[in-house]
Amino acid sequence: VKLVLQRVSSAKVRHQDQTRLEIKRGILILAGVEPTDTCAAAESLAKRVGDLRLFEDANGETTLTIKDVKGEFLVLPQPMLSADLSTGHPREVESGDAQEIFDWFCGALGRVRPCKCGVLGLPMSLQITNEGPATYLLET
Amino acid sequence: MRILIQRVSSGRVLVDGAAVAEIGRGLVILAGVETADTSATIGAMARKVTGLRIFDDAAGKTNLSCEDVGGEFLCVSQFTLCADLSKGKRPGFENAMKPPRSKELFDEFCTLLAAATGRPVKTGVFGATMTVELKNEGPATYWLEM
Repeated sequence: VKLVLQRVSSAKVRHQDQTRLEIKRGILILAGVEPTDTCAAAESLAKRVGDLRLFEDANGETTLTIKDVKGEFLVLPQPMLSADLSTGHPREVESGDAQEIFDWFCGALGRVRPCKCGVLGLPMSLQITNEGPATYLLET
Repeated sequence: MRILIQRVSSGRVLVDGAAVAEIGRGLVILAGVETADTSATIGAMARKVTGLRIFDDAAGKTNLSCEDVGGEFLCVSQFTLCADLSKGKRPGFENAMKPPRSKELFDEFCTLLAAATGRPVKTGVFGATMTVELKNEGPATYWLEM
């Protein structure tokens, strides 16, 4: 799984001009499942995200986890993250189990902190307020 | 160099609550310069971004470049992209190039992008604490390393 983590003060997902999903302070995650991924790997990655110290304490040091700040997760599937960009024209990597692995990943995150999840294949507008900015790349 | 590209209908950067850069349709590019990067790396990445066809054509296929759709670029330095999150619980930034060299190469990237596309390239404030607001349409997000 390839992940993009953005530390946000708010994020929302709109579809057909309606807000479908929304969080305040937390981590916005875009996730691209790759053919070699497994549910077990996705679960350990979710735990890892929960343990990362990405939020600032009172001294401005990034020592706090999402659990410490009682943040939320908003997770969207983003198959393009696994795209082959070598030709300049992205081709998504096909993965039959992508949905199952994505669901498993979201379930594992939900055991860390509240987690809202998007749906694969639905066109969405994602509104993000990235504070810092603080953006991280992570993969299994 | 590691960059993250988000295809947006709008994007802006605020410092202390005031907008310092703003674009409409285009690409928001977060860019992290790594210790091994040279002008050659930066040039190759700028060419790569210039050639990306990630906007929809009339048939809904992603066939068009940012230049083709008259889009703009908003480039924001983002050293956290260079973080090594594979070990430990706090990100390690050993791979991130330090200023002033990182700023020189970031500026070079923006200049090359503007020259190659003829499109406006707006930037945040290098090294400042910023808020980046954007509307990622699709969403469409691309992670490139070089």
